[in-house]
Amino acid sequence: MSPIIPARKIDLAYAILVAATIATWLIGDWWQDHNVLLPVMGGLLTLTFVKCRLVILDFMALRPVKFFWRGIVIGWALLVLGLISLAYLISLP
Amino acid sequence: MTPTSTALTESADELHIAPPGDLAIWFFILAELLAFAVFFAAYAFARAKNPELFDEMQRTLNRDAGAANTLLLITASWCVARGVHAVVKYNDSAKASRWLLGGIAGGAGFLVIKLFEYSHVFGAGITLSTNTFYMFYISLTFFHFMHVILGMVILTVLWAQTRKGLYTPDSANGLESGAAYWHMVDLVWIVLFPLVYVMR
Repeated sequence: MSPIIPARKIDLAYAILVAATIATWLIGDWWQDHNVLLPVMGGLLTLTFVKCRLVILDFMALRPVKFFWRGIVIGWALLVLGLISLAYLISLP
Repeated sequence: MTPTSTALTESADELHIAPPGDLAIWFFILAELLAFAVFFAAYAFARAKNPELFDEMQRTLNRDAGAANTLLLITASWCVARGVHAVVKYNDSAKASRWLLGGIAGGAGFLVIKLFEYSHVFGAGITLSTNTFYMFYISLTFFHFMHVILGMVILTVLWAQTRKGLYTPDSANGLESGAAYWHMVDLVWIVLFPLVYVMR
C-alpha cells in the first residue's frame, strides 16, 4: 500500500505554490529598483522554504511517511537555504 | 481482532515506514540533491566574493522566462501528483494517464522556454568563460536542463505504462518512483529560480 495524500491537499499545495511563485516574481521586479536588502532576502528565503516544504510533503507524498525521510529532505532544503543566507550575509557591505 | 484485520493493520503501519516508490530511487534522489546543494552553495559563495558582477549580470537574464518556467514545472509536478493519486486511490488508469500527459506538456513547455533562453545567451556570444556568473548560470541551469530531459523520458514511459493499465494501487512502485524523481527536479528549480534570477 502506498501513502495517499488527499486530492484537495494536493490542489491546495498547488494553489499556494502558484501564489508564492507569482510573489517571488513580483519581488524580483520590485527589487531591481530598490535597495532594501535583508528584509526582502528574508521574505524570499521564507517563500522558497514554504514552496520546498509543500513539494516535499504533498507532491512527494512524504507527509504520512516516517519522520526520518521527511527530515532528510526538509533538512536538505534548510541546509541549502541556510548556506545561501550565510553567503548573502557575507556579501553585504 | 481477526487475523485479517491484524494483517491490514500491520500493512497500514508499514505504509508509514518507507517513502513511496522503490527505496533505491530515494538514495538516488538524495545523491542528486546533495550534488545540487554543492552547486548552489558554490554559486552563493562565489557571488559573495563579487556581488556587483552577479547583480549586473543578473539584469541580463530574462526573469519572466524563469518565473514562467517555475510555474510550468510546478504545474507539471501537480499533474504528476494527481496522476499518482488517481492510480493509488481510485485505480483509474485512464484518468491517471491524462494527468501524466499534462505533466509531460508542462515539462515540454519548460524545455522550449529554456531553449529560447539559451539561444539568446549563446546568440549574444556568451560562453562558460565569459565571466564567473555565466560560468555558473550555464553549468547550473544546463545540469538541471539535463535532469528535466531525463524526467521527460521517465514520464513518457510512465504515461505509456499507465495507459496499458500496468499500475494498480497494490503495484504502483514504478509510477511512484518516477514521480518522486520528477518532483525532485521541480524541487531543485524552486531553489534555483530565486537564487539565480531574483536574489540581489
